[in-house]
Order: sequence, then C-alpha cells, then structure tokens
Amino acid sequence: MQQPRISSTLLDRLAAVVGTEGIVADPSSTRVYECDGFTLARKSPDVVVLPATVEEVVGVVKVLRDADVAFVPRGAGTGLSGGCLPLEAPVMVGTSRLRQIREIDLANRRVVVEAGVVNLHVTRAVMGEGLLYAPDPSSQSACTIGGNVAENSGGPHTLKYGVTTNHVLGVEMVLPNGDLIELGGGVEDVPGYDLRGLVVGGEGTFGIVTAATLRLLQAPQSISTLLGVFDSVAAACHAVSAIIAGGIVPAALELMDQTIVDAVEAAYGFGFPADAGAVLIVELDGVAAGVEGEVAAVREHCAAAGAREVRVAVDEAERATLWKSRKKAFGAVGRLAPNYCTQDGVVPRGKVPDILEKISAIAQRNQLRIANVFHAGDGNIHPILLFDQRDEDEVKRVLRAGTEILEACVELGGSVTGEHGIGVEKIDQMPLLFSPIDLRVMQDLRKVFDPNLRCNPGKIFPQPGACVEVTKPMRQVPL
Amino acid sequence: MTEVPTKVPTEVPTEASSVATEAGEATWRYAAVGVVPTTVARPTSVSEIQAVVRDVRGGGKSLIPVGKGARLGIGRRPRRYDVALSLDGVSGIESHRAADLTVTVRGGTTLRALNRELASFGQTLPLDPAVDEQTTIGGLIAVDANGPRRLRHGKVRDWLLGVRFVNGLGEQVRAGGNVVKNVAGYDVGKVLIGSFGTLGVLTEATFKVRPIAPSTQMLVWECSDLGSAVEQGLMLDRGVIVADYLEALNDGACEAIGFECEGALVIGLAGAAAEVAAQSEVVESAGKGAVRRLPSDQLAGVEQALRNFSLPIDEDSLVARISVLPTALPDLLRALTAQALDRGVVVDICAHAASGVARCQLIAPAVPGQVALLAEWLRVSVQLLRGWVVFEAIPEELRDSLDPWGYHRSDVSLMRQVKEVFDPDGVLSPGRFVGGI
Ligand SMILES: Cc1cc2nc3c(=O)[nH]c(=O)nc-3n(C[C@H](O)[C@H](O)[C@H](O)COP(=O)(O)OP(=O)(O)OC[C@H]3O[C@@H](n4cnc5c(N)ncnc54)[C@H](O)[C@@H]3O)c2cc1C
Repeated sequence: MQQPRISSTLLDRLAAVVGTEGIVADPSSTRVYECDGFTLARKSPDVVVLPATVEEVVGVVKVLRDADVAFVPRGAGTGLSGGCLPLEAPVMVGTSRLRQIREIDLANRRVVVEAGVVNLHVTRAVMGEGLLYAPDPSSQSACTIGGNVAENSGGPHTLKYGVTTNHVLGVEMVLPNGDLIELGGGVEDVPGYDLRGLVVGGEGTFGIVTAATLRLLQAPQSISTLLGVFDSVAAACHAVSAIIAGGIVPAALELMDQTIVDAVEAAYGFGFPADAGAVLIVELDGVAAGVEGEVAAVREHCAAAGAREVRVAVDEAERATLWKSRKKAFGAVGRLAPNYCTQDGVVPRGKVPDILEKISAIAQRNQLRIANVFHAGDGNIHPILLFDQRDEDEVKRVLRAGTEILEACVELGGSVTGEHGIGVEKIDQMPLLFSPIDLRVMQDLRKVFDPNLRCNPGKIFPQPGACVEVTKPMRQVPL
Repeated sequence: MTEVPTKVPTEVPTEASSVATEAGEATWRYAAVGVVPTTVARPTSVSEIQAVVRDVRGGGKSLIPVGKGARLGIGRRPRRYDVALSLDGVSGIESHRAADLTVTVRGGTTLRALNRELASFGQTLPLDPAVDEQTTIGGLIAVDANGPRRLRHGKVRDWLLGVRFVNGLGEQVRAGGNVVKNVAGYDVGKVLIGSFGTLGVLTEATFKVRPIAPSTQMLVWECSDLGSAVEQGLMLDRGVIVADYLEALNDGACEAIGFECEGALVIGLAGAAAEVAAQSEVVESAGKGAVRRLPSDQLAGVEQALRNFSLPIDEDSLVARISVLPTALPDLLRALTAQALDRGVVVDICAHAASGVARCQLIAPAVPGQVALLAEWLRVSVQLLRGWVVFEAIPEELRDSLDPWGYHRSDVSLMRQVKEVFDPDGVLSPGRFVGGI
C-alpha cells in the first residue's frame, strides 16, 4: 500500500512540539526504524518523533489528530511479531526519551516509571532494597516497560510469578484524540471496568502508554538452581510432569534438547555430556526451609525419570553459569545453520510430549532440522527451524512447517502465541482461535479508544486486502 | 483426567418459550437493591441462555444474571429488572486437566463445589471470598470476589485464563483460552471481571489451579489496637515472612470472632511443614509473647469468619470496602475509629493489612443520620489518599443519597462505550454499575 509522504507543514508542527532534536526524518536515519526483532517485514517510517515529556506526547498526538495522520508507538524495537512496523502509519512515535523513574515507593512496593524506561533498570533501581520487578523477558536489558505493557511480556520466571499483566497496577496513556488518561492506579482495588487489563497486551493499538505503576516483589529468601541431564527429551518431560504432579511450583522450568545442548557445548564448553539427549534447568525459590525440601524432591523426581546426572549449583557463580547456558542457547544456534527462525506456540503442559512428537514428524516430513529450547513448565514452546535462505525450496518448507506447528498447538488445545504477540506475523492464525463474533468484539473495543483506527493500524486482526506477505523466514532473534 | 472437547457442540437454536420460568413468590429471592423481577428464567444450556437474552432484548426488557443471589445487594438500584436469569441449570465441571493444573467450569457451579472436586486431586483455586458455598463462578468473576489469601495468591484476574459469555445481543463470545500463557488477541476476560453482570452472562470459565499446601498454621498476635495490628502486618510483610494472609482486626471484629483482645493480627501460613514451622518461629520471636498458635481444630472456623466478614450483619448496617496504599491504612483506620466514636457509630473492621484493603461494618446508632455523615467523611478521606471506597451494603434509608461506587474519573466515558460494545440496548443489569452503567 502506498503511503502519502507527510507534508512539511506537519513536520514543522511536530518540530514545534518536540524541537528539532526530537525529529528523525532523514531517510538514512529512519532506516534504523524499518523493523523490530521480526526482520522479515520492513518499512521505514516517514518520520520518527521522539517526545521527551508527557506534555510533548499529548502535543504530538494532537497535531496528528488535527492532521488525521496515523502513527505507531515504538519502544526499543525488540518485539518479535512486527508490532511496531509502520504499516499504514507514516509517523512513528518513539518513547526513548521518556526515561524517568518518577516515583519509588519502597514501603508500598510500587514504582511509577515512564514508558521508555528499560525493564532491567526497574529492578536495578530497587535491588539494593531487596526488591525486584518480576517479569524478566530475555531481552530485559533492552526492552522498555511500554513495550512490555503492550505485549504483556513474560520470561523464564513467569511460571511462578506471572506475566506483565499480573504486575501492572496502573497505566497512564494518551488516547489517539490527545486525551491524557489514567487507568487503574496505585491502589489494589479500583471500581469500574478493568480497562488497564485491556490495554496490557493491546499491542500498542489503544494509544501511547506514557507511564505505568508497577508492583514490586520481595526478593526470595533462598534460590536453588538444578540441572538435570537426561538421555531423551521424553525422559526430561517425564521429570517435568512428576515435579508438577508432586505439588511443586518451581520459579522456572526450562528444557533444551540435544541439538541445542550440543550447540551450546560446542560454542561455550559448559561441560555437558556430549551425548546428553536433553537438559532440564529447574529453579526453586522461597523460604529457605521450604526450598531445601523441594530440592530433594526434584532430585528424586529427576532420578526416577531416568536422569543420568542431577547437579545443584553450589553458589551464585555456578547458578549464573547454568542460566548463561540457557540464555546463550540461541546465540549458539548460529553454529548449526546459516539461518533460523523461532516459533512461539503454547500447548497445555501435559501435552508437551505430544507437541514435541508432532514437531519431529513435521521436521521429517518437511526434511528440516528443528531444535527445541523452551519454557517446559508452562507449555510455551520455542521450536527453532534451521535453514539456509539461499535454498528457496528449503525456505518454503520452513514457512510451511512453521504454520503446521502452530496449527498443531491449536489442535492440542493451545495457542499460537505465548509471549511474542500477533503483530503482523500471526494475523492469519487468529481465526483458528477466535470466531468472527469474538474478533468483532475485540475490534469494537479497539474503536472505543481509537474510533478512526489511527493508532498502529493493520495489526492483530485479519483485514480484507491485508498487505504483509511473508515469504522469507529471516528471524535471527531468539525468544 | 478428562479431556477438553475439541469442538464446541453445534448450536441448536432454542425458543425462549421452552425455557423453564417461574413468576410470583419465588422471585422475591432474586430482588436486587429492593427491585423484584417479575420472572425467573432457568435455562439449562448456553443456547437456552442465548434464547432468554434475545427474548428479553426483543421485548425491550432487562435481566440480571444470578447465581445464588448472595451479592445482588451490591451496586446501585437497577434501572429496570424484569427477569432473573438463574445459572443454576448451567453448572458442573466441564473438564479438569489435573496434569496441566487447569480447570474449565460452568458459570453456575459454586466455588465450594469446584474446590471440593479439585481437592480430590490435591489441587485448589486459591480464591477465598465470603460464602464460597453461595458464590458461583459467574458471580465470583462478575463481582471480583476476593478474600484474605489475595495477599499471596492474588485476585480473580491472576487465575482466570479464559471465559465464555453471552453478550447483550444474545451472541456467544469467547475470550482467552485454556493454556496458562497466551497473548493471542486482547485480554477481554479482564473487562468482565468486576463488571457486575453488565457486559455478559458468564457461562464458562477456565482457571489455573495450584497444589494444596501440605501444612498450614494460623497465628494470632494480640495488639493494643487495630492501627498497631496493621503496622505489625506491614512489618512482617516486608521480607520477614511469606504469609498466605495477614488480617488485622479491631476490637469489635475480635469480639465477633471470639478473640479476647482490643486488636489482633491474624497470620496465615501455608507450605511444607518445615517452612511453616520455621516461619511460625520467626513470628513468635518477633511478637515476644503476644503471639499464640491457633489449635488446628479452630482453623477452619476462624478462616471462615475472616472470609465472611464483608457480609452485612443486618439490614441496617453499612459495609464499606476501602482500598488505599498499605502504609496509609493504619492512620486512616485510626481516624475512622475516632470519628465513629464521636458519632456514636459502632464500627467493626477487618483489614487485608498488607494489601491496603479494609472491610468495615458501620452499625446504626440511636441517633439517625450519623452513619450517613460517617460514610461521607470516609469517602472524602479516602479520596484525599487517592484511594477508593465502595459501599457494598447500604441501609435502605440511605440508598438514594449514597452512591455505592463514588467513581468519577474521566474514563467513565470510555466505560460507557465499552458497555455499548457488549450490550448496546441495555439488556444486562442496567443501572447497577459505576456511573449508572
Ligand atoms: C533477544 C530477545 C529476547 C526476547 N525475550 C523475550 C522473552 O523472554 N519474553 C517475552 O515475552 N518477549 C521476549 N522478547 C520480545 C520483546 O522483547 C518483548 O515483546 C518486549 O516487550 C518488547 O519491548 P520493546 O520496548 O522492544 O517494544 P517494541 O518492540 O518497540 O514494541 C512492541 C509493541 O509495543 C508497542 N509499544 C511500544 N511502546 C509502546 C507504548 N509506550 N505505548 C503503546 N504501545 C507501545 C509497539 O507499537 C509494538 O506494537 C525478546 C526479544 C528479543 C529480541
């Protein structure tokens, strides 16, 4: 779809609000903003506006409203579903200058932070006081709170502590008509419809979030991390089921298959047995007396499931090493094939062995190599499809296999996305999950906030004449 | 373990006239804030619910979805109320996937029945509102009913994974799903939580569940007054222990529960035996002789009393639910106690100390009008603290002068439009909600 270039009058008006330092319009600079972590769809915005205060956000949005121009909000651009692709929107509004931590209320365990604040900086600001902000996406050193709110992001510790929506008490945002509103707030119980709960996970289609009130948690008294080495993924899955059936809720439960383990070993030499079929990382935390018992129980469950070795990290350094092996897994995949792409399906926890079996059948049928590293505890899989993009036929098979995997997740009673969002990537799969009525209700809710669909148009919902055609899986980024 | 049916049963159009209804005496049971419906409809399937909604809509009338009717007194007087749509006929567990720790349950099932079933698998939905035997799953969601355990386990919004409901047009709508992690589409279920029957008739919900803790212990810390009980609770919550609940009681609430003291902090611990024992000792050493362990045979009774505290004692009592920042609670409650004393109003208070939430029973004094003045004082004081107070039970003579919600922010206009999306003709519970929605 052809975009009208924006007029110089509009540019002047925007510059009048944010100053020239808040405008990026030169094509060589706007190219930086042509995609997020979903790199196969690219399009540069005509202009990127970077307001430094909430008042400037209001000013920018009002200028755009008066000119009837569409816009797309952007945080750090680490999204994995093309959420901030400026599809039918010539203007991008970035939050990189909204970086204030406005308030730290240690006694009530709350912070108020602006949308551009980086996730990890929240925990850093309160760590010394024994507090933390729980949602910990692997991208946490770069991604912003505004982006987390939009995507309802998760992380390895989601299993016990929940995702972003469980930790956001209030949202301050600018509606597409320029109104600055507050939803929810600092206190626990607010009467009225929970519109904050709708905006969290709204993928940036309701307006621009300018700040959020976040709940902080007390850091656990004791943490223990175990590594179980198994002969097969099936055996590791048995251990996962036994741990959960045994009434234990670990803080994290992550699984890596042989392909990943080998790649990690080759790249970093952590000392995994060369022929390990699967590795399980289990983290337990809480009151010291309780954690001790759980460590013993997890050891037993792993042994009973046939673990050939269970190692408990003896100190913080060893614990960090174990996590590094998990977090570097994706980096190591680069050694296996020139290209790879990741999926983000979810199945009921008990169906993890079934989906893994299906994935291996799909791999065989399409003559592909697929590696698995995933959040086993909550059934959120991240199969990595390996390929060489110069091989056109292989590219086609990768695309087909990706779709087949997501369809298999839905057939098993799951979902097509656990944490990365629909964006532009999975629009076609929405009808697998929702009826036309369900989809209409969602779109009508969007219109309550944005009646003219000027905020982040073209996302989430299947549209007649949709314009992103994905022909090349080129995503290089991990979960 | 039972499995989820992969396909929704094909819908058979139902005539509303084939749905069982009753009129007359029985309708009194379903009165909402003094308004008595003319009919009670008793559908037994989702398609029958759809037929009733369409019929009511077609006739230009309105309905309120009801479970056991325990919370029909909350909210404003409905603008119009013709049909009580009982969910009694749509109950039971649809499927419990024990290994997945998820359960799908029909709207008319009581929380107690659900938890009884889950308990046989060693699992629970750790929500503990008042009268769980009279709280249906639909009602639990619609009124956002939570209890003391919210401290550790959160609220309805933290456990609900998906919902199915019938909107004001009689359409079946689904939001969310059956898996514990899912960001496909908007989180529409959140909007249904606490919507008081104004957006949809909740027919089915899917929740996460969790294992039942093997060991529990309740400790009672006697305090000089309510304010200090809340303060001790905040102290313990700051990394000293991880409690399931921390309930602070004033003298009246202590008396009602049978504790002989002017104020008390009730501490609920749960977990592995070693963990509970270790934490009990921590509390005992912090409390220096003022802490006693409650004998285990009294645990269930006291927990029930704590949960049920938000129910009005009689028709003349006013129940206020306050939500402020936790650190603001001690002084607010001290001031409330002093104000009540001045006005000759008896007030019983039980606070979820570390959540900043307090439930207060204001009992009418001999001098009329004092309760109203106290309620107004409370609303102003709470607003100054940027918090909210909802009057969940209001004596009849104050009904017209006291807004139960007192919500006035600019997003009410968005809420009105949200209502339009779900129920454009005002068929569902019109007038009960915030801003007269
Ligand atoms: C290496 C890597 C690891 C990752 N790991 C995880 C993980 O473990 N778990 C997980 O859930 N995700 C993960 N992600 C995905 C991504 O980091 C998250 O979705 C993150 O929340 C995006 O934040 P962002 O600031 O980069 O947002 P962006 O990518 O800039 O934007 C994402 C969406 O949010 C909208 N948006 C951004 N800011 C605002 C705002 N202020 N107001 C309204 N809308 C806004 C945008 O329009 C867009 O639709 C990972 C990504 C990478 C690259």
